[in-house]
Amino acid sequence: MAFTILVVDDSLPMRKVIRKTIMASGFAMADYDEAADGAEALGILREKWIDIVLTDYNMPGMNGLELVNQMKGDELLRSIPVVVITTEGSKVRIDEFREKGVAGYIKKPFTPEEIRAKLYEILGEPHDDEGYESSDDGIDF
Amino acid sequence: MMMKDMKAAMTASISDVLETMFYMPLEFEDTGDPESRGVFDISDLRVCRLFFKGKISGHVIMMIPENLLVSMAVDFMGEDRENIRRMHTDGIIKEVVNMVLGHMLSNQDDKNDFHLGIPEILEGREPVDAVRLNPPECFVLAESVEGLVLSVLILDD
Repeated sequence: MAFTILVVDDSLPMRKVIRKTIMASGFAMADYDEAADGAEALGILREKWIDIVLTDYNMPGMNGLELVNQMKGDELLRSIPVVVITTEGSKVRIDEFREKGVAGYIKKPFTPEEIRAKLYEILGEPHDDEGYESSDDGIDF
Repeated sequence: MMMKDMKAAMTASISDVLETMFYMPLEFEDTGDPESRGVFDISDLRVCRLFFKGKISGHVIMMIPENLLVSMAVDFMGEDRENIRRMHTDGIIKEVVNMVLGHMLSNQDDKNDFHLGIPEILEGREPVDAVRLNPPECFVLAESVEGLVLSVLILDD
């Protein structure tokens, strides 16, 4: 089993590095989409099957939490897990993520191992990768 | 927090970010200053500023030569050098400033909330000259194989 991912970030280099990092991590990715802002992300989510959303927090216009709010208000999108990728890892901010229904967060800077561990923690690990031992260092709620 | 502690925190954050995300080993200049190392005379210096608010407030200015940013973009994005454009290097310096400052502030005290602004590119020589004419109390000068990185922290009064 492999998963479809949507990455939302206003920074083109960051979108590229997230894709590169996920691929380097060995995560079972079936398809990858990206959006430069929340509005574009909502459009993609309403058209395609997406297993998980990775979104930046600090974006001009609609920030990551506002995107989560919009998804939670949409019957078709509310069950899709959202992971926030952020530099802002204060306790207040993490509590805010949890209250809004965010499935997890990954703090920048991140490693391929951290991304893979978080994605499998939320989505479940495919059966053909039983030898992998996950690590939660620095990425747990 | 003392400026000495802020400088240590910024040094640790720059090291973490550039080594983790860019696989870029650095040496930090404890005694050198930007003027004597010729940072302000680098012709292709790119400048980015990011404001923050919280228990302490202020802004960070980061200066990185365009040539080094191109190399970082190649590593970061997995693109060939000839495909790297100004929009990519601008994106890289914005991400570096964002990660360095966010990592530094959250490592200092994760119980205190803080807010980061949106990183902005400062064009022309004026921002470079402004820092040169008013040498900052808190700065970090890091040297990579391909060039110098200067990070300046300025706190609000």
